[in-house]
Amino acid sequence: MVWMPFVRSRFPVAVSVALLLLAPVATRAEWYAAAQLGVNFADPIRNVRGSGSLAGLEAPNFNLKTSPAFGGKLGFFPNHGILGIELDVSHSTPHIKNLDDVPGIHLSVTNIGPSVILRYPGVTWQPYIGGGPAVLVAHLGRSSTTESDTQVSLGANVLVGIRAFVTPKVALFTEYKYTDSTFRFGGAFGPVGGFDGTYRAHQLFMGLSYHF
Amino acid sequence: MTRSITLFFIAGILLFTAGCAESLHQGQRGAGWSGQSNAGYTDGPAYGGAGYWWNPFGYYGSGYGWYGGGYGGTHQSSNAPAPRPTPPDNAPPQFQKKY
Repeated sequence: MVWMPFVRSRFPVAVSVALLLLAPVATRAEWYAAAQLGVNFADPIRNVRGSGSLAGLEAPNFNLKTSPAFGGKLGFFPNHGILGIELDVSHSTPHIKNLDDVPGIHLSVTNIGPSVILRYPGVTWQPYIGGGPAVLVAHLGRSSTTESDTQVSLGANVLVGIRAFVTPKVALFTEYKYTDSTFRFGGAFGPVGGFDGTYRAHQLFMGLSYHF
Repeated sequence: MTRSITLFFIAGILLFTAGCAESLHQGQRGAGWSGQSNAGYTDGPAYGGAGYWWNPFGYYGSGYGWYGGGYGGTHQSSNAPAPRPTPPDNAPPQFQKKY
């Protein structure tokens, strides 16, 4: 509680200064919100290794199904420039396919990724590239061999896309996004243990963005 | 699935051929530049300086991040595969598959 007087005295001042500094940037920025729909082409989960009491064991790759994906974006370009920041959230369901006689397992992945975006600020066409860290929330369903389990892991996103304005404030875009992470389902097999594996996905999106 | 992917790309091409409007933000900005020293390049800023562009794929350089540069098994000191442990009887069937 030593810091409480400091918080009381300095915090409002710090917030005010931050708002004053950010306000001009925010008012001069080009903000946008977008909705997107696409396809998730996930590579097999590779390097599958047991964890917990299964540590040291290895399993074949877990093949994943191609699935629909959807999501949204919120971003801004300070001073209407070429460099911007966006938050991208997308969801897909790359279910694990059956492994011979072992039945498949439901898997859903939510990708939350803040990205730095570099664009060509054309008046009609705006190609862009970007990248940044990702937080992947993956949920493994209960099956005859697994328990329901949710894991949160860090990863990375790299994306490239192009945007075309169809009205002065509305644009269509298409985007390719590559995601790389390592899943750690520590409780996938209940008290016996779980598994770790490398997850890599290619996503192709189309979407609509509104620039305000 | 192949058919739906094909339709996806065709729809994308059709939609993009309709992209003929101009961004309100960039249009205004372009108008503001017309009286400035960016003559000859009204469509965007004058990108100068060698350090202005950089490689966003640098994330995947050697030794990066959470994998410590070791993912993909490229840092194994020996080519000889280590003997795999025998899975116990209570191991899930995924770990009892031969591959």
